[in-house]
Amino acid sequence: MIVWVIDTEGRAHCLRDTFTPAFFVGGDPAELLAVAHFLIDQGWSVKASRTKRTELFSGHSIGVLQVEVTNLNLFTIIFERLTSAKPRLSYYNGDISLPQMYFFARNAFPLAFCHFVLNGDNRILTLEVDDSPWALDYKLPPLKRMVIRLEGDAINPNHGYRAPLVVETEGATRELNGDDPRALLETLRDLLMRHDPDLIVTDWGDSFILPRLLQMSKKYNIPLPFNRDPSRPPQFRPPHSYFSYGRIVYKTASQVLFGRWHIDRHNAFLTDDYGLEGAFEIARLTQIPVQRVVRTSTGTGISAMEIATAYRRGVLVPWHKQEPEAWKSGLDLVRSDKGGLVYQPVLGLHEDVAEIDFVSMYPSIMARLNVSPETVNCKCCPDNRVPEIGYSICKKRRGLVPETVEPLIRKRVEYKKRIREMPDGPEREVYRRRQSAHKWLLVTCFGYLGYKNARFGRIEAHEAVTAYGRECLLRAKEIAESRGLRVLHANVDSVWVAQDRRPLTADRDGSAAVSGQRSVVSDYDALLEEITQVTRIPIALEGIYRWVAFLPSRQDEKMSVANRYIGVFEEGEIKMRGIETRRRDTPPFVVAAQMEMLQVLASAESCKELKTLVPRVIEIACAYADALRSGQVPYQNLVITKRLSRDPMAYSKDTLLAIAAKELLGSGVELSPGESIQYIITEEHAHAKIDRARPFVHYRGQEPYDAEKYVELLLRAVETVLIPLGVDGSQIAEWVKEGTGEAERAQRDLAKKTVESWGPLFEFAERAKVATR
Amino acid sequence: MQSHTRCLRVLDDSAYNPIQIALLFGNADLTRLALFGIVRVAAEQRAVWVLDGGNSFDAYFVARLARGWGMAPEVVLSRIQLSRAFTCYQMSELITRRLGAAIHPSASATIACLDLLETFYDDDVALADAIRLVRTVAARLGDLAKRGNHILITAREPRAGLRERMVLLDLLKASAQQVERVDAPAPTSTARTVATQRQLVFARGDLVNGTNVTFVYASDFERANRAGEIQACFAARGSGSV
Repeated sequence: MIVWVIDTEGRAHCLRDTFTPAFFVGGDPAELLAVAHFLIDQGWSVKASRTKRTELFSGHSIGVLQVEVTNLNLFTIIFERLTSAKPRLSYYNGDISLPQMYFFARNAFPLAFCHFVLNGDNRILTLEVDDSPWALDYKLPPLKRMVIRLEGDAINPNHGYRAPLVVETEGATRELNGDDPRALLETLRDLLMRHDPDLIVTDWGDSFILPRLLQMSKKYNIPLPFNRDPSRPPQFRPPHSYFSYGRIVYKTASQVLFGRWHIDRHNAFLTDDYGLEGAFEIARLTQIPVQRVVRTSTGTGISAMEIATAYRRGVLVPWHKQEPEAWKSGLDLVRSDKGGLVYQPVLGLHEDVAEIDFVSMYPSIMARLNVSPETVNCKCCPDNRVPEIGYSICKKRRGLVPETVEPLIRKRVEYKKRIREMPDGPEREVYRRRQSAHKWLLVTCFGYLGYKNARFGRIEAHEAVTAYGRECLLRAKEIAESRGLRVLHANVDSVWVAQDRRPLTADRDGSAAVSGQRSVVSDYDALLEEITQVTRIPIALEGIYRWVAFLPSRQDEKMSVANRYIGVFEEGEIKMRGIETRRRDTPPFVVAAQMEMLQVLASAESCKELKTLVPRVIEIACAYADALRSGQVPYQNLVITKRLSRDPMAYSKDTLLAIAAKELLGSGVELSPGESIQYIITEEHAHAKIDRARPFVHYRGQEPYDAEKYVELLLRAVETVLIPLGVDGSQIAEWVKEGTGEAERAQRDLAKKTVESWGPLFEFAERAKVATR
Repeated sequence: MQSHTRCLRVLDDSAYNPIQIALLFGNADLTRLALFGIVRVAAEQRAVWVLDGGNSFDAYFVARLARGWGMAPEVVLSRIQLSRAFTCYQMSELITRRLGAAIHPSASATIACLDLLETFYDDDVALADAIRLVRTVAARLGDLAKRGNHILITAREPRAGLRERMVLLDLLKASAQQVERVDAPAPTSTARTVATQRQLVFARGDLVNGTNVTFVYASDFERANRAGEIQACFAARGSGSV
């Protein structure tokens, strides 16, 4: 095994270690003997021996054949040949990646601080890990970075965008022009050799920059030392599309380097949210190499952690999941096949609302109540039943999944505690990113219980978790109501409650209000304590909203929908779900407008004050509509990003997305289902379809965009913000029509109007209030 | 269009029924079609074993159907035994080992394999492996049929891009005595939305004698049910044919 390390001075070293991975074969003794003979006959350099390992579901130790492969390069090939030759046998541990297996065997992990004893050949004699994946504070090695990207807007070059190559190193930025390919390659080669980066960060490096540069390097015979290890080329994986949960997903190509890392910012899973700090944290916890961690989902991460737990316990990791669902009647299916519990929100505006959330509810249920594939429906604990569905849960043996997630939950709680106690700053941000990475791991660990490809998934365990979750939420609701609180909304693991008394309304600055606030918080403390005690799952106060608006469905304004709301916490922080700002297909211009409006509304201390801010919101809407109509909006802010759900030619209706995709196809771009397309609406109702929308990459900025269509999108975003204040879409359109236009705008007295002058404007809000009593 | 009714006849538990394995394939909503047969069997106080490869068994639809026939939904649902498979290895295990152990060895059982090939169309599974497993599964179903069990299989065709997996459907076809293709009719302009969203629900018309069968859609079903048409259709269910 080749192991790259960075010493405390920042120098990279290539070390070698002797490592013999093994897989296991299960079957009756005669079959295993036949396997041993087969291996000998093939002449492979393997060592086969009888041993015992634990089978997950039964918990019993079973006899298996251990096959150790001395040549690492042959491990996968031997495993594939054997499984093809003897397909009916049971196989274990055969498709765990070799770097992971190495980490398991050495009890090490990526980015761990280690002490090595080496011989003169740089071969590892001893490896001692002086670090723990559960350490809250740890030092990362000093990494030399290089950024390689195309100059200008971050537009997908696979769709035709071209610009000079930009190389950034510490303190210097070089622009390399492609007019002279030889000079470009030689300069890049020199930069790579001179700076010898540990990490190369690119934009579209996986799918475009590295493949093109390597192609040029071959053509002009100028080697590019992307790898530190000169004996091998970068590892290329082609792109592909696949179906997942009824949706098509496009996985772009990848270029993995040896001896240094390559991270493509446009092919890195969730790094917008948790950044490199989070990715490094996941690599440390999951024992997956960094380059793979950034290119795979957190589900793969949690699966790797479960495999590591199994490895530690001597539990066999099945190659294929074979355990089907136990027989159940149709009636049992109705009882058990449910998700989380939701109480639809009470529509409209509410003041002084507390949101309380169970802390990592589903993972906590798994950890505290021992829900795991092998503990569900055990025969030994018939008295320990899951509410509502009646499955038994074992109390005698600790589940593999709970054992995996428990320390992760603990670590996240510790980080969250530190974040709460620390002032803003870089250290706090590091903790925030790490705990965010934990959040994603924990979110997926529940889904993986029911996921078809999860090694340790089982549908009954998935059902048990949701059944416990429903029970917890129900109990929380009952406890809140028994304490005189009104439950406005409950959604799987969160409850929104309001006090009947309102200590935090008119004069917030007065001493009475402050003591009222303390009393409210202590009331909530008691509530949280009681819920935690009864359910055994910790629950915490997410925050107290000055006001929160539960928004109606877009189809029916009288109907409330879960997870569509806007609220402002006591500290002024805005929280919103299910609105335009949160959607990935909303143009940046509309996002900016809606955010500006929300920031204005966030200054309101009460619902009464909120209503007085409507004119300011309209003013903002008018200004944005003006900018659109006068052509002042930079076209980059109008781009709409949508995902292709099928092959572009398979679209029977010419939607704007299909039109843009077909234009790209026509210009020679290859597109796959699941890929994202960016376009600008040029004239939605143009007679010629091709005039309706243009791919972003083809849009030069000189041709007009469809201002009225963008105004329509803007007004929809305004409506979302104002509808809880009783303002409907037609009213907004009228005001914006009145309010736009330079001359009128200057004299407009919109802002001076009092709330009362808006007439029936707030009827909706008042109605909503009455309904909540 | 009467063909699928011949396939559903496999569920008739009569000694003279020559069909032991029937296969319905095509792009219609075959699960819904099969559920009519399944509910009818359950309504006749017989147990049905359902193996679901597409997580498509709709208990609420079964309940509505039972209620429409004047049966208590709880009773009908409790007579249906179900297991879902999410990988082809689970489906294979279910058919080759678990099913035989669950059904009574001496009595003939009614078995419905819904979306049987769905998990075998997973492109993560090597085609050679999928072929091997389907052969094993087909052989095992053949054994079960020889022991007097009646088996209805539904399977859709592989989607574009996985056409090489058509061989799996061919293997199943070879193992069944009755094979019929059922496609959803091209939707009319008014029915288009309904058709694309909810797909084919069931056959109506002269269901009793198996002629002049036409398709209706979910929304039509609700309307027809209100008008009493459905009750008329199923009034003759005692005759043993749907």
